[in-house]
Amino acid sequence: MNNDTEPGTHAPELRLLADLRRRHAVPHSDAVDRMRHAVLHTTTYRRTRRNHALRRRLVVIGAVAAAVALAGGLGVVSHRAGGQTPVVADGRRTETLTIGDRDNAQLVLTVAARRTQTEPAGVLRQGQYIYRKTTELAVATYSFGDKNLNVYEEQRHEMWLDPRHGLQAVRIVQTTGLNRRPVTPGDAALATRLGFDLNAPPSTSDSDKPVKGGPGIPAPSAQPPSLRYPTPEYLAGLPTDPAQLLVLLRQAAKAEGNTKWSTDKIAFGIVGDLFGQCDPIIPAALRAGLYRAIALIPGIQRIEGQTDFGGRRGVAVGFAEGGQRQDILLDPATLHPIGNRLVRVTAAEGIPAGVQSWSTFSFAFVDQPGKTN
Amino acid sequence: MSRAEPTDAQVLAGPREGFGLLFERYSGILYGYCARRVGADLAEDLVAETFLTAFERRDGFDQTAPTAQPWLFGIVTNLLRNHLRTEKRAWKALARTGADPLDGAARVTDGLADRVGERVDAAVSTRALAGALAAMPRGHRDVLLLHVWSGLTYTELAEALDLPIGTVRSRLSRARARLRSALPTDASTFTSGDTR
Repeated sequence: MNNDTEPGTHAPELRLLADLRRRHAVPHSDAVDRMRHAVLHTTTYRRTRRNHALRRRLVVIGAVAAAVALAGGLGVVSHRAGGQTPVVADGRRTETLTIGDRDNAQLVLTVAARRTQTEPAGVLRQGQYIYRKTTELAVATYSFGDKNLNVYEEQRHEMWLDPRHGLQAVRIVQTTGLNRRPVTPGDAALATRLGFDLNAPPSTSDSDKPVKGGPGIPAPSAQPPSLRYPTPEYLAGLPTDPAQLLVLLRQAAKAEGNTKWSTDKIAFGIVGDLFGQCDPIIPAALRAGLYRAIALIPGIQRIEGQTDFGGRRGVAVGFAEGGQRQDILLDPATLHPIGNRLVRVTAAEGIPAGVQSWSTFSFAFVDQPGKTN
Repeated sequence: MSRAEPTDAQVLAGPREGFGLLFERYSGILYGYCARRVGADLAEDLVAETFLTAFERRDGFDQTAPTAQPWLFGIVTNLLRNHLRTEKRAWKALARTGADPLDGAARVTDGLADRVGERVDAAVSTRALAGALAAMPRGHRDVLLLHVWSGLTYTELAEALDLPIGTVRSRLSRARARLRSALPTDASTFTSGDTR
């Protein structure tokens, strides 16, 4: 303030005005993060020539929301419930947003939310079932006396779920022992020495053709609907606001009573599992809200590059804790979730750092159990 | 700002990596100003756009200016013009109904608001202020709110709005007179705004 006869704010009318909407003046920390990211993404993170920034603004949208959407973190600004004037009004433009190699987790998730939030939901016709196919890579440990042989094995699970009965499985086909390979050269040598047949044929079991020891149909869950036991109705009733969702996720995580992992790690895992259980029946706005909710989890990280499992490429965001990292994988083209991955960050128990389990999933709505499309 | 930290002019003339410092210094006050005028959702967009505009125009910043604050408020004031209708609609609604559209569904009450008489008085003041703000010319409202909510001096207001200082004085004076005439005569005895 200088001293050029300022009126100050001690006058009654100015004091009253100074109080007006005062509590609106303090931004939520999430809002600051979103703004910061939107600004710094364009001004600092991006190594573009400075005139590119201006040109991009003019070409792409002509308003900050373009940068906001591209910059990540701020995509929520314009489209949150109750928002007054969406700055990015042209949905077609948001559909063109893609994931860049240098985009961080918040940006990846924000772009994914923006891309998918207005997609029409898949149509599950009366009487149809949800077919879910999961391919999972995991480390299997075979014990031979005092020696442990670690082998990567793939399994394929096909499940037909009845959406009318809380996603109850009505048929399960399981194939195990696919593509066995040793985890380390030492495991390869051990397998040879032990005569372990890495090329043994896989085995398949089908709940419709029950055999002893094969998979049976689990009894209907006695659990009420929840994030772990979702039903279409339950999902439709969830909020879509990311902050509210994160509160719900953390509550659900705490309720599990797991003391080994942090609440945020469990919350992150719940989202990954939910996608894997029932992505096609998750309402688009809820999926977008979940993307944005996990973007708010401190420590969330973008995994460099793209993942590739069986030719299925993915963009990964992860949460690391206690020597391991859980990743959620998104299809880089559709930005829908396609899988989950558990990575050992440090070597332990004779198993080197690297992927511990890796699952990818796909879904279809089918007319009857046994059909796959 | 500590002595070791660069001035705003140095930040704006320096490498792009330093731009975040400007954001840390002024995003809060810019957000507060915008949020009080047009609500939280738009405020986020406006603040981000203000900094992006500043980044693009940083070569044009007056290196002799002591701070970038008036310059940034000048940018945000221009951007707010695109939302004039939104702002006026909210002021009018508040004046007419006593319910602030920017509040959303939740109302915050505090100890003062629990005292019914004071709450009623505060609501009267609030509606009167809102009505006066809705009715006054945009240029007057800009000067008034920048001064009261952002603490800009006459000189800074003149710089921010690119106006002669005499115009700033006269606009502020007229805006205050409008407020005074709109308020009940005993308005100075109670408070307003967040006590509703």
